[in-house]
Parts: sequence; structure tokens; C-alpha cells
Amino acid sequence: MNDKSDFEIAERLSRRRARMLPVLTIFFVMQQAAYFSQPDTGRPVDHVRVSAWIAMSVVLLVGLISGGFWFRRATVRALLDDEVTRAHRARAMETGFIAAMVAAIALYFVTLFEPVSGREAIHLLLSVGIACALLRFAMLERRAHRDG
Amino acid sequence: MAEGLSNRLHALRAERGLTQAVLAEMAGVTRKTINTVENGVFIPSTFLALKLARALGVSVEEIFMLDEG
Repeated sequence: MNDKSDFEIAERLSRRRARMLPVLTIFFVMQQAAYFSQPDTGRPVDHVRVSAWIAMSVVLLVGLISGGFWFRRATVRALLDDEVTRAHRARAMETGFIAAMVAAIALYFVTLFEPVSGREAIHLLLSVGIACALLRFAMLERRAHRDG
Repeated sequence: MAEGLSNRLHALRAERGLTQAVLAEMAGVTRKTINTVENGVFIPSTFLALKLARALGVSVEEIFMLDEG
């Protein structure tokens, strides 16, 4: 029966998403740490690094917004984006927004003592917002699976 | 448990000998959703509450109730 397999698939994928998101987030944050420890000097390799960051940011952001699993059946995707998941996403977005705002305020004070380029500021704010939202989403999803 | 709202979802499900996964399929949601509602972590929408009530063959008021006092 197709419906039953859809539920089983959605359950398995949902658990996998909850396990994978923290790993992806750590990888993403480590990538940014490498970038900020060795600032952009205009070398070709720096363009590659920035391009990789932009690509990963877009993928993570779109994944978070849409729920991911774009190549799965519509019924499976609907189950993976059910009411609880949407509520978790809303809370995660809220966390990401607050984190980005706090980072922006902190950055404002940093610029009083240290010059920060527009690109660096955008990089930092976007990274903080995405990382915090992803972590929050992962935490909520893992707890929802665990409490049973 | 969310403030002011209790539910008997776990008890009603157990009375019928249903697992979370089976009830989830009957209601057209994931097991995670049933789990979070049972634990009071998540307050479902009216739509979901009605689907749960239909799956269990009871009224919404038999599943969810306001805490007294």
C-alpha cells in the first residue's frame, strides 16, 4: 500500500533530518571560522571560498524554508512538512532573526573600534542567522522524536 | 503540558490498542505530531484536533479540555 510506505518513509527521513542538521550546522560554522581566521585578500582562492559559503548558505536557507527533500513524492513531502514541523520552523526562524539582530547590534559596537567591511558584516549576520535557526530547528525536531 | 490545556490522547489511544504510528496514519500526520500532542509540547490547530477526534471516533472535547482553576 503506497500510503503506508509514505508514512514510513516520512518518519525515517524526518529522523534523518533531525540527526543531520546539527552536523551540517557545525560544518557550516567551521567553514565560516576558517573564513574569518584568514580574511579575504582578493586571491582567486578567496573567491572560491566565498562562492562556497554563498552556495551553502542558499542551500541551507532554502532547505530550512521549504523543508528539503525536493525530489521526494508530494505526499512524503507533505508529511515531512506537517503542522508540528511548520511550528518548529517558525520558532527556528524567530530564533535566527533574533540572533541576527543581536549580532548586528554587537557588530555596530565593534565598528566603533575596528573597521568592518560591508561584505564581512553581511557574511557574519547571514551566517549567524542561518546557523542559529538551523540549530534551533534541529533541537526542536530531535526533542519531538525523542519524547515518545 | 501547555498552560491551561490538558489532553487524553494517550489514554484514548491506549484504550484502543493503537500505537502512535498507527494513529498517525489514521489521522494523516507523522508519529512525531502525535508524540508532541500527547506530551503537551504542541497544541494542535482546530483542523488537526478534528482529524484526531475523527480518527479516534470521539468528540474534540473528549480529547482536549481546559484545566480547571
